[in-house]
Amino acid sequence: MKQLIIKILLFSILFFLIVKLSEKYFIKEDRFNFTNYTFNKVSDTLDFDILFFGSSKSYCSYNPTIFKNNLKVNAYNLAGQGQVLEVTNFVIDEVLKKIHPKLIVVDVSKGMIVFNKVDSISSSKKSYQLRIFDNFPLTYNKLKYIYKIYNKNDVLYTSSPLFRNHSQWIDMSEFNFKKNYLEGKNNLFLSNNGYIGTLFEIDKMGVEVSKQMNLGYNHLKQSNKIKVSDKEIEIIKEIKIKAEKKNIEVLFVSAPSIKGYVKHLSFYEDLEKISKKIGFNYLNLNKHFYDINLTVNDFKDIQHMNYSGGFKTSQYVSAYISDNYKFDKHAEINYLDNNVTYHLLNHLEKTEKILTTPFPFNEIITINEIGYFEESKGRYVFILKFKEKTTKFQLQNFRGYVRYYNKAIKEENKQVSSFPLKTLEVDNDMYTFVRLYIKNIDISKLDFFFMEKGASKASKFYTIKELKLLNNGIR
Amino acid sequence: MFFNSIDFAIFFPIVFILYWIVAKNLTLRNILILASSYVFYGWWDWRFLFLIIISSLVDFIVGQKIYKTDSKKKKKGYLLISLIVNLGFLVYFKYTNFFIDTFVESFRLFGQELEVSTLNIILPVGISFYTFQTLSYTIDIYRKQLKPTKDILAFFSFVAFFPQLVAGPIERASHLLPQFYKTYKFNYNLVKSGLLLMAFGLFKKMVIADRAAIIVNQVYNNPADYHGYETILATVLFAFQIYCDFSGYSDIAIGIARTMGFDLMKNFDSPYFSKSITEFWRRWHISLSTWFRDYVYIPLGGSRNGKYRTYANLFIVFVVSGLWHGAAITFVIWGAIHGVIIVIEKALTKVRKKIFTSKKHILNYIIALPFTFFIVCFAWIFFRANSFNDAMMIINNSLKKETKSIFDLGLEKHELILLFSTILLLLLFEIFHKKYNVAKILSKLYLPFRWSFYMLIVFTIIIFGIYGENTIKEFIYFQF
Repeated sequence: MKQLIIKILLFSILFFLIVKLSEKYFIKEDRFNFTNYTFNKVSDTLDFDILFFGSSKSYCSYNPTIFKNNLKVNAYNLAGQGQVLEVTNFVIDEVLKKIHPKLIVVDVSKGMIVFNKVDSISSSKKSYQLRIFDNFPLTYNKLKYIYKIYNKNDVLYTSSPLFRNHSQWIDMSEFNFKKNYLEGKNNLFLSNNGYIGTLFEIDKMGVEVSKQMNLGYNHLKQSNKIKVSDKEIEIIKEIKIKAEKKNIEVLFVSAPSIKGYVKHLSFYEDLEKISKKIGFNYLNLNKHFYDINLTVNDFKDIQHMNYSGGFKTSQYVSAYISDNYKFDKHAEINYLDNNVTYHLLNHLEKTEKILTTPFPFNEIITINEIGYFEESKGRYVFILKFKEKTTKFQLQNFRGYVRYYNKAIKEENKQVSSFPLKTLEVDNDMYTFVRLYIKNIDISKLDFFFMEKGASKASKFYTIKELKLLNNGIR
Repeated sequence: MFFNSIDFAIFFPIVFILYWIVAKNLTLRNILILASSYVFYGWWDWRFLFLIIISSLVDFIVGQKIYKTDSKKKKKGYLLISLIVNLGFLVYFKYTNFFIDTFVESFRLFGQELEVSTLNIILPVGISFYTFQTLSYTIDIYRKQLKPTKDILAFFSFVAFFPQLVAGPIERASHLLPQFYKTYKFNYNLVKSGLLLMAFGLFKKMVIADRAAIIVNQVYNNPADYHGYETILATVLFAFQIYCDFSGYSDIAIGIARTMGFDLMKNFDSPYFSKSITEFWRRWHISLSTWFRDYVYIPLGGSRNGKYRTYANLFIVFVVSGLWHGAAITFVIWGAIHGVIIVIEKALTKVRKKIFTSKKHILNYIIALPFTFFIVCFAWIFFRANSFNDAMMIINNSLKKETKSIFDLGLEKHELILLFSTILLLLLFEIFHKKYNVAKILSKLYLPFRWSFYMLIVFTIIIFGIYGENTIKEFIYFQF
């Protein structure tokens, strides 16, 4: 018996060791789950002033680089896909064990507070929520939350990403993730520090829904009667008390959404009343839709903003924080700078310039500047600044092209990438960008040109010879 | 409680530890076995525990009465009580709706529409298994092949013994009951081999059977949508699904019992390597086929009353065996197919002996083995199909050419490769295991290699097993 007990113990230790070591290969990483994963990597070395929590609405709305730029603070967005406030409650618990921010901004939206076991839409978000748990080590607290939010069977399956994600064994190598992440629709995503900006625009159906907005705020206010439930209030209170105990300020925010404005306005109105009654800081951005200068084009769908909407909202919220909160001491600003937002806010001053004087490609397209930076190892982003008064409607029929040759200028060394002219507007300047994954940074020739859709003739070429790309990214 | 559930993963170590703490005290040990068996069964639905308790009590008393009385008439009467109670439960819970349906259908054939609705009866898990086990006890006493036990605790534990309670092997009292009269010393090697067998059973169930089930369910639940190789593939995969599912369960059951010092009978012996249906039934669900042999075939007269009566007896046994599996016409047809083929084999015994002169004759492998597998698979169509019409549709569609891509059957390429590889691995293992005792070879290995092998099995199950939220797969034989 002794022999068996000793052997079972040793075997179990070995077993758990292997489970632990293999876990990282089973954390399903995609752009929507990258937030917590990267945060775990950077939080050991960096301190943060502001942390954002919430669901996808949060990571589409609050761009930490803008907060950094405007408030001179370190910020990070820790929102997760489908993350209800019950799960956020756990994430806050775990994150506050490691770091001590000055302010936490928690996004609260209708239907995203309590996990509804019965509602199928809510249940469909469960797998996204459980991915968030994968990023945190197995603790009693983690099991307690899983048990509380879901059910007892989930406790074992979610205790390790290995058990939970074993069925996706084919994707377990980190290489697969990186490949998908980099080679996916990467020209349509602009992410940094947990923020995920997309360049999609709302579809026709969304535009139809948004037409109701024209009926006006007061009309909508009267037509809806959705209240905040007691359970929802309890969770908000819990987070508030938790932050207060740690001497951390907490701001609850409701990110703007077309659905929020059109259908759930009364919910946010009710939340505002409750905030005054209970005494927590709450900012209902749906009420400030027009103050933020949002239009239908600032949304990727009726729930989420796109990059443009997130840009405007982040500017607005950072001004609000600046007016209402004071940070005695800032964390040392030193983190994950190389992203498109950072370079746009700095008007390409911090990029490596490869074009500094206006270059007319054709009658419509003139590029004033081209700068590049290394986003991550081997991943280069080229930002192109259009001449003044260029409009996105003028550009909508064009595609951009980059052609480059590694080493000798031979057909087999040729690489061509095309990119849609998705525009980014900052301080009345219009930009676009292309992301390239370049293995050999010694480029013998690089051409930029544009083509009108359906046309066979290209614009003029802007050519650079003998370019050695600089490694200035996060290595 | 399922062997492949979290509940059991917690339940078993607790029972195992407690068992070996009290192992030296026979009464305490049997109380523990009985209590844990009732918890195991009651976990599914505690209300049905009363059925097991009544069955156990009736057979315990009837056993004593049969033994004590000298009157043949009384003996018969007592046996009849046992049969009525046990088979009564079985018939009521399992066959009432089948009989109602058949009754209504029969009238419909003559143009009479009867308005009789079926009853809402839940089939108690494992009722067919423990009923047969307790029946064997009273019948053996009646036949004077067994003395009744006076130890009520041992008897109740024998009936409810949780490793084999819900899906066998169906044990005979003469083999299992005496094991409840003695205590066991902890045997490290026995426990180790039991755990290994459990792991092997889980591998078969979770990695092969549940993966094959994805394609099988897809095709058999939508028979109109699949043709040609799709239906053939699904049927072949079902053959492996049911084998891995059921033999996996038996392995786990035998493994659990072995860790506690008990020995359960072998239930499967590489059935798909059989070269005739007669041989198949010597290798498939051995505990059931021998039960039918001893308690149905022999009482019917066996082969003692001439050629034709033997054929009739064989056919009856297989039809009844089909009905035992499920209360549906498809199961009866399944049994009948096996019955007919066995009768033909019996009739052609001399011819077969002339063709296949020895067991290792090459024709055995190129004709008899594939043909047997074909017949088994053909019969499985009726066993698996949701109805007789579905079964006929699957047979018709198998002959049609229009097919989809193999990847439209529910499994992606890598999953399919994994499924085929593991089936092949299993077959190779069975060939290897016939010649060499794998457990012995393993035990002789240097510890790091041995442990690496154990780890490999455990992680293969964890990574490649089909499990997760809402995906606990019941064992197929639970429904019988």
